[in-house]
Amino acid sequence: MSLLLFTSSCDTELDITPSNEVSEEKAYETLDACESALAGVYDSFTQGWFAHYANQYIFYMPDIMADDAYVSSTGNYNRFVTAYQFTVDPTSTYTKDPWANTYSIIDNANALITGVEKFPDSDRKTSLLGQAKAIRAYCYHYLIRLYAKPYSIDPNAPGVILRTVSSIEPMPRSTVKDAYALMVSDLTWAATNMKEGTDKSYIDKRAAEGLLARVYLDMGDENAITYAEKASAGVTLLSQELYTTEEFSKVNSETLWSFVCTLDDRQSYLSIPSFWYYADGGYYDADNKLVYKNVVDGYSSLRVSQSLADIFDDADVRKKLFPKVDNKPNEYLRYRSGILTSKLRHVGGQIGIGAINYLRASEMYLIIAEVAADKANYTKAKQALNTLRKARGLGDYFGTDANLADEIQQERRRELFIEGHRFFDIKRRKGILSRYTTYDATKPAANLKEGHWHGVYYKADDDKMVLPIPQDEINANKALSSADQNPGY
Amino acid sequence: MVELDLAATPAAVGSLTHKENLVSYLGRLNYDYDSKYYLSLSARRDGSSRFGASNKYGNFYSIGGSWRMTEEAFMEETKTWLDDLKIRASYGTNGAKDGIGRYASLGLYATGRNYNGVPGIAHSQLANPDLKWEKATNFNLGIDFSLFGRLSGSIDYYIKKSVDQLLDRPLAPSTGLDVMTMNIGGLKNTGFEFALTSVNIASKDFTWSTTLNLALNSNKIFDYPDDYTVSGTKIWTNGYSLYEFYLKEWAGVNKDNGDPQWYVDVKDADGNVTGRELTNDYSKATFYKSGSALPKAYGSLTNTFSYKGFDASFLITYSFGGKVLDTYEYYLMNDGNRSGYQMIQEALDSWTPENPNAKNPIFIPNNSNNSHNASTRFLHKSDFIKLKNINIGYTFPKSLTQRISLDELRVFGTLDNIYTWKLDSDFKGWDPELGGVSGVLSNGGAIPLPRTILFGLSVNF
Repeated sequence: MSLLLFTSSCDTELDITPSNEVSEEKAYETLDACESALAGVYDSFTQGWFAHYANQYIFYMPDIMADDAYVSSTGNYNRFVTAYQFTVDPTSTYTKDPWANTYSIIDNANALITGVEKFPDSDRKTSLLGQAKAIRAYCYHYLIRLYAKPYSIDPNAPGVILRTVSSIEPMPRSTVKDAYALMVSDLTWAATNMKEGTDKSYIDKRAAEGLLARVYLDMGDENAITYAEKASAGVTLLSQELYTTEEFSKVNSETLWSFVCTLDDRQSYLSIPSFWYYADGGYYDADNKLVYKNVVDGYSSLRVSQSLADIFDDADVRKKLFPKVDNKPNEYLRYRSGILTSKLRHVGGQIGIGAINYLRASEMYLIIAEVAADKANYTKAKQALNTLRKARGLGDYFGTDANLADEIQQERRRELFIEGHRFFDIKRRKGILSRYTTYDATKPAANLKEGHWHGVYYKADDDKMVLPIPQDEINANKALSSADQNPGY
Repeated sequence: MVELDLAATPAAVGSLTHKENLVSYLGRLNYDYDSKYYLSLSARRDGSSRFGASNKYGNFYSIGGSWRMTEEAFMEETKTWLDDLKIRASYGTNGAKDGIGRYASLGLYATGRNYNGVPGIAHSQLANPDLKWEKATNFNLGIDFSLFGRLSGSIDYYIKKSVDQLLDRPLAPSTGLDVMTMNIGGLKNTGFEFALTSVNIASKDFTWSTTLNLALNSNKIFDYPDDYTVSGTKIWTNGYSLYEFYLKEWAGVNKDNGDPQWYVDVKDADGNVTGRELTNDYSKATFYKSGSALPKAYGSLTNTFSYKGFDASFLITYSFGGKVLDTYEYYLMNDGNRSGYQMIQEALDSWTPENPNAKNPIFIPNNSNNSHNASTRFLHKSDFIKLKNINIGYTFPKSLTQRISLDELRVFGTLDNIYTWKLDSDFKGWDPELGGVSGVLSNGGAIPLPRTILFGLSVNF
């Protein structure tokens, strides 16, 4: 018979927290801790679980899911191809990731709002709260325009999951209208209570006003004009000399909100310019080989169609954003067979350094013009439009009032290309997304616009103009069933 | 907090410390009477830092007994042929905590999420203060026997039930988080294990013995709180294995036009499923339970030979009844959906009007019909028989080795991973076992095990 008895004299030291993570209790203990949480919210734009960061989905998808830009048919590293082709299904990367990554930002913003609300009122608190709300609204604005029908077509259409607290509770889809109500509420609070800041890498009063103008634009609400005017008041538009330089990719005179990337903290090959930019220019050498100038390598797998390059007048400073081959004024610079644009650049020739302007004053004038024209206030519309045109080297608009709305959309294409707008603009304006010069339903591969290799022709209310709700969401969110899936998927 | 991981500039340095505590109290009582009856009792109390504040501790116990029947008086006559017969049974509980994160119960914010030179934190984990020990109840009944001095072995029957299973439950992506470690549901493993050793030939110079191991196992979830949860390519639901595949079902190639086909449920007006039909649209296809990754029967067969100083052993392992999903085929058999990716020879058998019975759908460059997406097209049986190891050696006679003061000198050669017979001819990979427990062959671990030859010298002195 044997008896063994061990006792341990070590007493309970069983409460252990990790050394490199902060526990929930401490994360919002002081305002300083909240500032760290705020940095984490911004950083979440460049944090992804799979192949891409949230900011890539926000900035690339609306352009390559449209007519002016596309994914190179070769040398594309299989990135964004299914999104370009509109062949995504509920389990695709390009269905799930934009959703999951953006909601990750929203969750951090929600946690910050809850965490900071308990502090007594102060300027610091207002700044933190305003930024968190504005970023939350910015994220919902992206999601609602991608995963639901546009406000201008059906505000009562099913929207997205409108979470306002950090929680895992099952939650159903609310409507498009509900999302816009939340965004207006968040941004109005931010625009009213915040102060103007000097560091444009953080959202301030002006940035909130600009974002609010964008939201009101979708609603066709005249408040868009009010806030766009506030946001752009006193802001100098970027000069013609600087517009086509790397100054565009820095915090510049017309920046309202910018995302700054530094030597220590940048996305290198996964930075925004890396997918577009390849070289400033080029020439043919003695052996008739194309030699590129000022190459800063990157993925360079996204291109613009010549059909976009052709809508710029020669006097337009923006025409220079489509470099030509030296001494060949009729030949656009190409790499992997598609036309390059030097609009978004790496600064100082170092990949990934610079700032991405998430919001610029130029867009404000276009918002004012669009809403004013829709309300038949043609004087105001033309005044805003011409302010921008003049800044870009063009003369005043001399067409008819009836054509003004279309011209404003053309101006949006010229000013805002590859900044994440085109797909959403077509939806809002109830237009047609066409990659064809002339469309023939019986010949889907014929008459494609230059560079495009997969034709699509969709009306703004087509099922395909809305991405499916990710299957993972429907599976894990008990408030959803397959009946909640968007039609056509 | 002083770790370097938290610093914003410079961003390229880091440091962190991991810490975990386990506090245990345990006691054991062993009793044997007359080398015939054995009884063993144990109890323990464990506390782990991994669990929630009020659930750190778990209490576990076990009781076991065995009876050496051959020692009994009434077994005297059997002693001529029955060398040993022991019956044993045990029942006990134990706790499991492995496989979960060290800080799995805490709500956490990851550091290093810096912006513009400011050190940042971002939500990485939700708190689960209810997280506690996974408890397993094990019942085992076994017989050990030895007959004729030649045949020996054991048979075991077991029932292992785990409750409050520690699983990473997938969260809805709208929560901003990926998974949450929770105690959910139970898992029951029941089965038999057989081990049989036979000394086939035992003469002066030559012996040959064979050992066969066979395990039969059934794995089922019970008490799962939801109807089902989808986790990756698997589904967790009552009555099915923890590794039950949940995939769209491939229905072959349309012989008229080469389209890929999958099954889709047909529903009546009330939503009840009345049958199924074919579709060439991947997003419309229905998900079905497609079989478990776990094998139903597996084990090994070893043959050992010795002749004078030589010895040789051959080890064969086998597995039947499991499934493996070869995600490499999404790329290697992509029918043009991933233009530019390397493909394999089997992809050449694709549909054309001249080859309407081809195994693979029509090949279209820059294809967008999703025929390469996950489905039972790439789910195969993982059945295999492997010649796993051959070991041949020679031990020098003691008379020789003792002259150089060595007790034993053996020279040997070993060959490992010699050959795998893959029993599903549709499986195109190297080795179905590389799919692991979850039965998924993917980018991470599909490098086949190399065949290795080892020569060695074993010396005792």
